[in-house]
Amino acid sequence: MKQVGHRVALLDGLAKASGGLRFTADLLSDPANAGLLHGALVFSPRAHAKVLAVDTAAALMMPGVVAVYWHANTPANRYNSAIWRVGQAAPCDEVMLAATVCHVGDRVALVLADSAAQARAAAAQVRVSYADLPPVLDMAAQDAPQVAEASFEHGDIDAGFAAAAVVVETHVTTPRSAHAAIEPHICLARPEPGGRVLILSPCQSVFAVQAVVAQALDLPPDRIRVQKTAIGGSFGGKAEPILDPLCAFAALALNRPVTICLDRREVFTATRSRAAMQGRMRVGLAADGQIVARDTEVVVDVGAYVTGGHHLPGSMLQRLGRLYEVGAERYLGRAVTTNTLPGGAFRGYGSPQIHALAEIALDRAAGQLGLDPVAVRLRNIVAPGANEPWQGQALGNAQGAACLVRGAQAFDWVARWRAPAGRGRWRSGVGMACATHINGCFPGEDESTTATLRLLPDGRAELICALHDLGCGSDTTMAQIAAEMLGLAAQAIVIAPADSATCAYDLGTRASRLTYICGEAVRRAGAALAQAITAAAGLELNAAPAGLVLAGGQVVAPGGAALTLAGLAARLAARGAALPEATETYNATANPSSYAAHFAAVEVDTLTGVVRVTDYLAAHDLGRAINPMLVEGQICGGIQIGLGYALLEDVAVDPASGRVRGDSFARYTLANAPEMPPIRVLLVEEGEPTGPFGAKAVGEIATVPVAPAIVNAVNHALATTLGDLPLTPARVLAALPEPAWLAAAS
Amino acid sequence: MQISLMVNGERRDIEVAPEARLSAVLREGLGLTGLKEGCREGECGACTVLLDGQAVNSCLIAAFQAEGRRIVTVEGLDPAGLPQAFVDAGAIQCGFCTPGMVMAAEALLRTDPAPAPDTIRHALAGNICRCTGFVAIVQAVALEAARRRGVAA
Amino acid sequence: MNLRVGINLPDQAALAALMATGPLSFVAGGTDVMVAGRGLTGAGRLVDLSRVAGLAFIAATGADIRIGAATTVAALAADPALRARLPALAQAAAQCGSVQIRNRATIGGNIANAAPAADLIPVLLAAEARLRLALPGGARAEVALDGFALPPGALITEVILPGPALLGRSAFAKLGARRELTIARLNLALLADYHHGRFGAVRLVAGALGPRPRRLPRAEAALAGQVLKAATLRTWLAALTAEVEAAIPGRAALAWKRRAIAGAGLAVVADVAGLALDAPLFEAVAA
Repeated sequence: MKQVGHRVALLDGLAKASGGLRFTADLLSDPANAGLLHGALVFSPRAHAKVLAVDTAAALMMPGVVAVYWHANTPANRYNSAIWRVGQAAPCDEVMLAATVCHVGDRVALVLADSAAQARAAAAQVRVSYADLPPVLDMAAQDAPQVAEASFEHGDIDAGFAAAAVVVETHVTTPRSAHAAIEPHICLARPEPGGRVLILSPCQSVFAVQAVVAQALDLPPDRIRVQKTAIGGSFGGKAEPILDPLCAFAALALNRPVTICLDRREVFTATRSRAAMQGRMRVGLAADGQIVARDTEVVVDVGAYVTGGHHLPGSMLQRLGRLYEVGAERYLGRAVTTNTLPGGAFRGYGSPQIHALAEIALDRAAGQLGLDPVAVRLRNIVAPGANEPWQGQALGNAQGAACLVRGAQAFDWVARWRAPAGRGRWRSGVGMACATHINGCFPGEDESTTATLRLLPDGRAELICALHDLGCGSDTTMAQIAAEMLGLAAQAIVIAPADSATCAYDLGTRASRLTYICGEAVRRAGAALAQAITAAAGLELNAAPAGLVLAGGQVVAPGGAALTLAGLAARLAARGAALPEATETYNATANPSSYAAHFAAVEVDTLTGVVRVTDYLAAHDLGRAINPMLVEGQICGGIQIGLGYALLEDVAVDPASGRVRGDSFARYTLANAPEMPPIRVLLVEEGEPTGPFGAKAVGEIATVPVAPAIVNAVNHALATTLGDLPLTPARVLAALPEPAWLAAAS
Repeated sequence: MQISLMVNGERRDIEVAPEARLSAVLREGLGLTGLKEGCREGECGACTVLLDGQAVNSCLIAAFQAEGRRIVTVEGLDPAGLPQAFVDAGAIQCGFCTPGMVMAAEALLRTDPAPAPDTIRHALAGNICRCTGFVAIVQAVALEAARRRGVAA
Repeated sequence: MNLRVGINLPDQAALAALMATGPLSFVAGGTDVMVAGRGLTGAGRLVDLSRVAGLAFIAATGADIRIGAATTVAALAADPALRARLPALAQAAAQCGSVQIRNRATIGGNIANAAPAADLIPVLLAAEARLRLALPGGARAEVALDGFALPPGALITEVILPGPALLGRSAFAKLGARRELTIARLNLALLADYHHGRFGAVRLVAGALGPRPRRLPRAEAALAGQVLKAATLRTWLAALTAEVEAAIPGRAALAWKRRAIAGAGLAVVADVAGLALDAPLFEAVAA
């Protein structure tokens, strides 16, 4: 194949690297935004309080200020920022500007002014008085309201435990973590004639923005047009439209373009986070390592507003059941709200939490029997063609075992696992973890994508599909797929930006559906367009369409006669005929799983508790890598996020005040270049029959096994049972006995 | 106040407030939107430019402090150099950190033409990327270093 | 903000003249005052110190080491004569922030900002640094860094490290959340005479242990005059722990810092003694 499977460079890579590609903040001085107003938000310093009064008098008098909004002069429609289509049922507890604030960082007022500096200066002059209400700040508290529950049982759990050679109970907690995309949240809205509004948003679904804004403003969706702008990273953080309702409202109310840009502190304290989890898992293993029984209880803290958190308990169950064949399983997952920073979509959305619990618990149980962690995974991992027990979904060509076998060999696992940790100050250890993740939302009702491909006069092809490249290179991947079908180079595919007015409805980028679902829609559209092209070319070349081949930008007949696509287009245009185009709607009929096994080596300084990851290998079952270079990029990026989750990152809500302590890059520690280990990536490409060219997802799963692999490595090095993430130096040291010289301290 | 900046080899005269950040002046005043503002506290490096050949966070410089000094932004680099090496090595994903990363790498290569991988990581410690895990970025810098020296990477 | 600007003042005389005319705000590297949310405070004209002639220099070969207050951290890290005489300062400078920060941050700014975890200040205190100040109205003063508080409107112009106070060897160590570009959660500066395996005079200052970096007299006493051997180190590490417990009793960070300071402690001792950190001597102690 000429395109698929090749390391095609990112199509807009040079534009990005040379500074030419414009993100939303770079568009502000465009003539279309003449008269632009800048919005600055006033946020609550209280965790839970009624807003008694908002005094805007001083703010309104400040230079450049045009308006100040708060709950009394804005629509009070309740909405849910995580919906993805108009009319979707969801707990609607959010409001644009709160009359009762529900977390530190909740939105209270919006100031609009001619410049950002003026708006922020005026925002500081808005005086708000509050009447405190009792806050719930601890997810384990009795009064933390529950918003969702999922439970499942299969097999005889008690018999399973009774028959087990060993039963081990493990507790794991995972922190709230921040997406920390380098581009802060931003939105731009312009009023258009007829009471319409155009929203330019770095988003994950233009239709989600449309639906949420429609709900928040109680507007017909067809008055809201949304175009996706270039996005400087999201990882789910920009999946929920946070600024868009207010931006659109102000643009309509003031009849001027409006932009709201959050600063970094506001991104940390007023957007979204990964829900924290407290979990308990009891694992019963037979002597040979088979999981005979597993009993899980997890609680996730979705924060002040539900957003998509009510899906989390079911999502975690869905992922849990897809990795191993378990004799008997019992699961109870609950989601509670607290008066803290809301949770939201974040790469993996439930998978990192449940895998942290499951993979650390499995290691703990395996350790009790002295079994090799890899051998235990191999004993239990699902085989190709298996079905999962919860929804009965077929898991497809599940190649988790291949990840384990090939990964372990490449990592020299057995020797390194058996090697002594050392008795000195620095201890070495290795750890591993498996993971699985889904491919799309099937059997969810909106799981379909419509793609249109049409021939352009210059011989290139245009792809019209609501594609939302979050920076991972999915546009390039789609272009490769289309190009492969049409005998073109990926660079010859023109991808129209996602636009609610010109693209068919789509779920957007979520649930690892881009390559698997959108890619298949694009492939089918490509096949259909190829057929239309060869049919038209057949007439021109006087040849049977079935014998024509598309290659190198040309249509080639068996005898060698050829016609360039541009030439074909010209001839058709000369005859007044329409240029070929094809539209295909692909409705998913399966939701196979992708699999992975990650292997980590660590060195722990027992004097300071500092953990260094010294080596890393990631083995991924992804069916087929459409673009191995982009796949490696996704995996390495996922490892950076997972390493932070394991060792460094904690949004750290203050338990007394509800304030986010990790509110800047200085206080919220990300792994920078010196923290990263050398990484090897190993791809298992055995093909998934239902995926385009056999491809499955890799973007989310890339970050899922990282934290448990690292935690398992630390526990291997230290013979500890650490399970509270992140493993900060303080937590590591607390698990180690005090050295002899410490006793002499007085 | 009126100041005069030397930007990418050109003299640019511009009116600025005394406390205006260089990053904002370059972006909004001079339309050089390649550099990005990710934090305004010198932690992310997305605003990195060269000031008299040294990598600096332009968000922490008051624009007037750069009067008469030589500033190079990503728009002032030859796209066929480091930017192309980033493309070839797969070192770009969302692209938001990339201009700053490229400038920090440029500063390194101007003083160290053959940096070891650990040296590259150290030089880029002030540039945060959330997409790539830095692996391909280090490879891109090594690739460009080799190209400049005319040797195989 | 009602600021006008003074830039490119030719020399300190011109600066002094300007200071005599009214209140001024200063910005040098900007790596503290330009951070979002801190803001350039103060009234009056805003003066850029980063190019005032004569305010940035390193004179490390004379009797005293003299450093202009506007000297960048990068320059400190790179100066060979400074590294030879006071390696701890070069080490601390090399671990301040990132390349971008070091190219702008200044020694005067680090002192004036007086962050509890400032990386340069522990070394300067251990070296018994003195500061030359330009006061509003044109007067000058010289004060000890120890106990120093910057008077309003005053400017640090020079840092003096008196020759007689410079002991033979020095080292700096820092523990942060990550290895590079990190606020210190503990830092430690050691100046010591060390000959033939025995410590002579010793000065030890720790940062990030309270609002200001502090001398550790008990730990100093446990090391001064001692032969470098396992027993000495065990006693010394215990003394370091005791210092931490005295400095931050009841604080959440106590549990970690009282133990982890041993990591910083062994690092500076190893450096001063010219030993590798994994030398058998240290392994015997750490267990």
